[in-house]
Amino acid sequence: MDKFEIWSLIVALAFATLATKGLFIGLWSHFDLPPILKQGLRYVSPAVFAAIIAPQLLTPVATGGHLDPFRVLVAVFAFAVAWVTRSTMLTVVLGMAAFWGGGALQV
Amino acid sequence: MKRVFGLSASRIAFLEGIRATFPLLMGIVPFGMVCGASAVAAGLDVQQAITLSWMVFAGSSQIVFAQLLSQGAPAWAILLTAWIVNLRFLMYSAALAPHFRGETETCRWWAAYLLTDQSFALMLARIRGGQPYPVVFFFGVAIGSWLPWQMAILAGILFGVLVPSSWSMDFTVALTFIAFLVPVLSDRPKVLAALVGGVVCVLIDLPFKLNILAATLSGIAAGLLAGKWISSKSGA
Repeated sequence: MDKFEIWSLIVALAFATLATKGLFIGLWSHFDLPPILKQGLRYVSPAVFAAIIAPQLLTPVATGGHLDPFRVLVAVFAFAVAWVTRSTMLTVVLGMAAFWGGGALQV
Repeated sequence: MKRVFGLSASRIAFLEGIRATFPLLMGIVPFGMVCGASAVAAGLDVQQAITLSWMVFAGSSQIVFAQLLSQGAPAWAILLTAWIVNLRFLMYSAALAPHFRGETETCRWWAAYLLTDQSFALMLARIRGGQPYPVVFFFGVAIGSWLPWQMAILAGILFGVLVPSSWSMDFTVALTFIAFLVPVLSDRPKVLAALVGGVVCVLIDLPFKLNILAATLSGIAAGLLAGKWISSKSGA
């Protein structure tokens, strides 16, 4: 993809995102979504975050798409850390520590 | 106007907003660094990475944008998937809009641009707590988190340029998304939505990298069905 295309994409995403963030706050403060859409929106975050995580954990690029039980184990640990601490910092730091520490032990 | 130590109540609300960002920095800084580093790792040059961050100002979609770009997905699939990651802002916008009704258009559009998960959550909490000047408070939170985040982006870009990619950047990305996923699993239909979304994304293999889109729609459908089933069971 050439530079012009990348820049166009960035600008397009910026507009789309601002329009999304501002649809009600900026434009239609008196408009309301139909209930089914409102309900559906509640499930976007869990579905999309899980959809992003799952392939990276189960078929990672680093192992050529093969299941790596160690990665899954570290991910479960990270999940537990996130559940208990609700802290992005701790999840990333402890998760990477486990990942590198465990990797060093394996070798 | 009531003044405390020479400050008006609305100024105090703004400062309270800024102060509310302090505990959030522990999450904002690593996330910003991951966003900056992954943009560079995906092949964006420094200028593009910086522009992406201040123009879009939505970290998780920036990461997805960068990853799909590096995987060679077509432009429309990148745009669509990244936008879907940001759909939750539609929900936030709808929830906060009534409280912005008296404000000028300029104010409302700046608020829209500055909207993040944290500023949304904190403003909502302030409103539900019945505390004054939620809009001013919102701007305190939003501005107070925008600057550290952009600086974290710069640090991440620098890190990404200096450090070789053998440091498993993608696992760090997975960890940050795990940190985001956990707080939104607040009821069983949402857990089901996540499970279905994750499973579908791994199992199917669509052209144009539409896996995430299809998986998200499946997850939403599963969540809606579960929600309906639960409410019909309880006779609601």
